[in-house]
Amino acid sequence: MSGQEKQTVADVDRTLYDFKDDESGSSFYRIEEGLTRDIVLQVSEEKHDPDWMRDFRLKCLEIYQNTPMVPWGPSIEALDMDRIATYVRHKSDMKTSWEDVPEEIKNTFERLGIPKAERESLAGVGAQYDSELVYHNVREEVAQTGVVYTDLESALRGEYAEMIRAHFMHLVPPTDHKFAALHGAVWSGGSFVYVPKGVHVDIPLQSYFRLNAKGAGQFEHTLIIVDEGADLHFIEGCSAPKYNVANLHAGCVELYVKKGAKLRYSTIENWSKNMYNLNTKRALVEEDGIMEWVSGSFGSAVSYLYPSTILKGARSRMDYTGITFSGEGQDLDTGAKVVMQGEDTSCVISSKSITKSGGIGTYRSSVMIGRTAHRARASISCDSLMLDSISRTDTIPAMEVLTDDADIGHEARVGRISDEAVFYLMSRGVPEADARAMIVAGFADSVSKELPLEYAVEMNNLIKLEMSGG
Amino acid sequence: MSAVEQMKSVPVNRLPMPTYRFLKVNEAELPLPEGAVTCKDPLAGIDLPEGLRVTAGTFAGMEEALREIPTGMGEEADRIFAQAGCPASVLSVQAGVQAAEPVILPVTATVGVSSLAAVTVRAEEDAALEIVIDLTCDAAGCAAARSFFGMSLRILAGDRARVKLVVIRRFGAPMSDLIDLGIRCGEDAAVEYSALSLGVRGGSKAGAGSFQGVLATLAGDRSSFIDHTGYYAGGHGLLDMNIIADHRGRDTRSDMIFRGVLDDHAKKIWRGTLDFKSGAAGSAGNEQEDTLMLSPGVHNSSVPLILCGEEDVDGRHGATIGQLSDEILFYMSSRGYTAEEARRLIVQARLKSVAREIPDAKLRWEVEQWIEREIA
Repeated sequence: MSGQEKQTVADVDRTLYDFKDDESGSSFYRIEEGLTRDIVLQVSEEKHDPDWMRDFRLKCLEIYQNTPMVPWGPSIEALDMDRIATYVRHKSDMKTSWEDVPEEIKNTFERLGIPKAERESLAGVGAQYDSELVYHNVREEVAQTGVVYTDLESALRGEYAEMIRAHFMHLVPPTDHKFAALHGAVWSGGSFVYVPKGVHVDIPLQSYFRLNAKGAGQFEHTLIIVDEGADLHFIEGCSAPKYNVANLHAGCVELYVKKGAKLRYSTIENWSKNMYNLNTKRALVEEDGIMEWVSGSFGSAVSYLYPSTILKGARSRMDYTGITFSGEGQDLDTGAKVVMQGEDTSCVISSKSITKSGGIGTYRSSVMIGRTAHRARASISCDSLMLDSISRTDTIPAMEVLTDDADIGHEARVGRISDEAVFYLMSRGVPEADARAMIVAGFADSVSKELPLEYAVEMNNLIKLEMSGG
Repeated sequence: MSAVEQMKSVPVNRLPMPTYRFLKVNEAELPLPEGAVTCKDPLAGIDLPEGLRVTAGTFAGMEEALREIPTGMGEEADRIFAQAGCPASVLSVQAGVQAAEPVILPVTATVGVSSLAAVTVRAEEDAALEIVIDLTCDAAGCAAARSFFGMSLRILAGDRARVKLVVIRRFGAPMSDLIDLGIRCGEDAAVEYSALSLGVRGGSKAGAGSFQGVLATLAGDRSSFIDHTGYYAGGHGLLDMNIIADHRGRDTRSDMIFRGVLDDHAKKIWRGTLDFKSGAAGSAGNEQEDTLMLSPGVHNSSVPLILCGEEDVDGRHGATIGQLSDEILFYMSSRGYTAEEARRLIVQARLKSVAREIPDAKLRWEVEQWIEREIA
């Protein structure tokens, strides 16, 4: 490559997301920065928690304080919890009509295209602004099938209270890691979805999380139960404007896929580059259940994100398709985890990573096949594309197998854009810059084709590749 | 006899970049020998082909250029040898000398005794050498009592030098051992390493087993490293490996193939790393792992890393982990073999494919016979 000009690829275009609303006015409530028992109690009071939840929060705080940081992964030394406000909300209540949402917040979501998406392609929408949901609605015909899609706080106090209590942070216990404990202490917002037995929700539900406040954290909790034989596609989107101080996202997603049910969980994550994204996602899949993860990680300064799946039931299945794009100033540590327990379970993990402009991309995974997972099958592939030599990409997969009749295939490849492929396209009349752009777009294609069309377009816009030189 | 500092274990085989703690693969705890250890000098008194010489020395007093070669198990393993006051003689091949015959070093572990041995090889510019280390037990056999054996190996390959090292480990049960190798390659140097671990059956005591580490530093442009490892672990054996190809020079190559068999309640942890440092442009590395699991009680952990700080490289990893396929068993049965015979033939064939790397015909035949007799 010496003597040749290296291709350049522009950073993800974030102008669409990088606008700020002034929250200094009296219409916003902001808790003091830091993490103390008093602050946790204050959050609990704001949320009108039942007693068990208040006690749970305090227990989580104790676990957080006694749990060390993990000794692996990107540095989060610049994250100072004493400078993070864990709860910020608009003083308006949650609405079920966009017309009633406060103007300044509505404008934010209009610019992000959420109401338009709801009208055109969604069965229901939840929109969270800072720590609270400001809008939640589900189409009437979907509601009539018995599908419940509501904010978690309402569910916690209503007819699903016992169901919430029986599932909340059972899949991701606060002892799991330090930021799971933090989440348990100060969680706020998020959605609860229940799809009754045999109900097929034909068009997706979506929750969109917007963290507008400077120096704040967002800790939404998503709990989804897809009952026996039911089917759901849930989409999660997130963004934030960029500030010169650290913001924190430590959400938690717990997914229960019952016997014969299917859940697809798609995420397009585009946090700003001052965000520490320490999110935890986990699914429990029963007999013949199917869990599909589609994940696009583009934003944040630091990410620790490994959707994990427990394949408990016989013949249960997990597919993970993910892409991560790390640019300047980003250290994104992403991947997937799966624990296979049931007989004849199977999983397919397909991960892509692109790094440029000094970005660091790490693929990290674990596949654990237990003694009871007879005839389990796993296929793992991870491909990393480096677009320059000042970036870094690492691949750290692990496989643990405790049964002799498992069948595991693993492939990994790290490399650059192939000169041969560029030459081939150029010989067909494609200019070099276009050829390189086509190759990178093709590299990401396996993820974008898994998304609904409008989200695939958004993802492709996010990877706005502008090639020059070569 | 010397004593190793009275610690129960030391951390070795550290993963170059740690991962989830719950997997328990970030490092291994090497149980240290209890009480006194005996040092052996495999190079003492051997007949050498022309152009080769042995320089006596101690591990603690090893010259800087050799001591600074990092090894797969890490500095903690070095400390064991240094504290024990072991000799570390240097086998040197003069510049331009192509050794006519392989150097065979039989090393015998002694019943009930902890022993350590260190060998350092320096191949000067344009030199070539084949060396075979055959690790066995004495007449009474290691099975007579729990024993510990440790071997430290370093290879410094000068520009355009060629070194082939074959290590055959055929102790039998219930030996605990470590084999720690560090390699540094100059420009256009090539090191080929073949390791055959036969019958890792020890380890009924928690933490015991066979610990092996290899780190090849491809410092010189166009240098290369080939690792061809075969293993069989049965009983309650533990096999813990950490193999690293550290690409630093331009246009360097590594090719690592690991083929093994796990039986009974054996446990294997394999860490394989391709590490492309910034500046290693034009380099390529490949690691392939193929693990055959023969019993429902086995435990296999595989951690194949590709670390990359250079754009212009090609790093690949592939793994297959599972049991004998129905297709192979059907094919063998159509040729008149029972399932048991088919299994034995396939296991032995895997190990013999590495035994073929032994450059000495007599020893190769002996090892093949050993495989047929012991790995049944």
